[in-house]
Amino acid sequence: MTATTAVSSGKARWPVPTGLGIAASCAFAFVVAPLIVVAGAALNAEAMFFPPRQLTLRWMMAALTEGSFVNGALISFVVAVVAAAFSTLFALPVALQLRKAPPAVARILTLSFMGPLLVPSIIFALALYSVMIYAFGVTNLSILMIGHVIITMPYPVRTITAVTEHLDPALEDAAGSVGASPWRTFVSVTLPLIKPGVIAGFLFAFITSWNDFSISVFLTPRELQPLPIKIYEYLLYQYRPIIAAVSTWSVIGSAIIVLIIDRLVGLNVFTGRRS
Amino acid sequence: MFVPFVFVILFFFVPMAWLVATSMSTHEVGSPPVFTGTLEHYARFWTDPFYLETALWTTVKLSVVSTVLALIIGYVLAYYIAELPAHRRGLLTSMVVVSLSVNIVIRIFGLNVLLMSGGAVDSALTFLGMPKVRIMYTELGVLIGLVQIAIPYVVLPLIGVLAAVDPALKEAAESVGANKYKTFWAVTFPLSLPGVVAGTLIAFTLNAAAFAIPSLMGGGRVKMMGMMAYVQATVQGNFPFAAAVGISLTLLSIVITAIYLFVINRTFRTARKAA
Repeated sequence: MTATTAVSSGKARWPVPTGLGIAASCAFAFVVAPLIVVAGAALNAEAMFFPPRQLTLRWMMAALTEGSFVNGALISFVVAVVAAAFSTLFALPVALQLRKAPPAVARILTLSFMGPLLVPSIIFALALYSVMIYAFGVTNLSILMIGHVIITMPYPVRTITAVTEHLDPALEDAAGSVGASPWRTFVSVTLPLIKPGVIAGFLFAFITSWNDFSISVFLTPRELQPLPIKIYEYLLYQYRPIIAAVSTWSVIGSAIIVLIIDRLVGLNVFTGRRS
Repeated sequence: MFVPFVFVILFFFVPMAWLVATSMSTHEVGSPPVFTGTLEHYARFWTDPFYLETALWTTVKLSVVSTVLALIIGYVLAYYIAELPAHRRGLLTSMVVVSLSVNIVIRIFGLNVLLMSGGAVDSALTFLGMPKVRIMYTELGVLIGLVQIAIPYVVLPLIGVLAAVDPALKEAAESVGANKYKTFWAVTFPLSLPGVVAGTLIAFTLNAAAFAIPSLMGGGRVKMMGMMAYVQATVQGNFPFAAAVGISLTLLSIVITAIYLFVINRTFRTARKAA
């Protein structure tokens, strides 16, 4: 409901709703419906229904005090931060080399680092899982993080490559000619210039990891389940209001992350527009 | 440079090669797969009508249809958002981004609450006097899920390209007598093709390998290949067959993508020549 009013209030300039406006409102309602329904179900006193019949904050509070969910959220967050940090760190030298490398080498590098985008992530997860089970007999949190680094790396490689294309090599040469070491040149000249690409890449990697399901479902160790896996296992058997409440907190978390991205680099990183 | 390269080789290419080797190994319950170069698992999958009909055909059909539907619905929404004045695009765009950044499991949960029998959609249909339709745990339910999850991936790149279309071009077309539809198909749509291709490629690759959606919305009745590979590996413990299904799925998805790009390229080029 909120969705439709948000759209129609946006076009107060046109007194008569256009066909496009109506169709777009329906499409928008479809996009946001699951999120609103989850929140509605979380505020419901009795069973899992939407629209809710009797409102309560009981489940929302209960979700915050149930240790296993809080742990799950923490694990998801830590995995996403570590994976995004490593994939951005790895992507930096790759993107910088891509700029200087001869075309043939650049093509091989691009293919190597973009390869994970071509393979469905569930199949890569199966591959990594079978190797690790064969080698170690178990899976653990660092293996899960390794999986996340692989699937998130294409994003920082791409965003950093996009900014290095506009980088003037003369600036780095100038720093070198006045005696700056390569490291010094990198820190005080190159890095500040490519900072937007680095931040955008990190955030993309973070969201991809935070959002991941298929890698985690294979590589999650039993005792350290990230939040999505925990929710998934509940959903396989029963729907409880507390799961809706946990999900609602997670939606709020995602909304805050999007807000931060909007403030830091703008939402244009998602629509691919360079401003 | 060296470290990331070794990392990708070690944790992406080695596991993938390992998966290929596993798919050509013998399977015996209770003992690890032994590589013999056999193609029996591929033969089993690609000749058994049961697998071809239930898994392969369901996967291809659902992923193609869901991508087309997501493109149509997503295009309408993106077109509407792009037509808004720049300062008013923010709210709708950020809601689409939030939806994208909420974990897939949570979005499926919301859809399930909405679509389950006795849920909002069910009640609305009954209220309108429509015949009762079973949505949950059917192909229709899985299709709705695939479309819903894919839409944000289609909308976001499209907003970028559509907002970048120079209004002067549209005015030019209209000034020589083209009506709105003609202008759209002759000017706007061809210019938005890069966004169409980018969005549909992500949507198709994701949906072809869908796992969470058929698992939570199909109730085990709708069999898609990604899910089958998972069940074969973790439940049946048949890694060679799971690997063969996984490699088949990867190749299938790459081939369909290649055909799609080829067709788009050719039609686009002939269209440009004609114009």
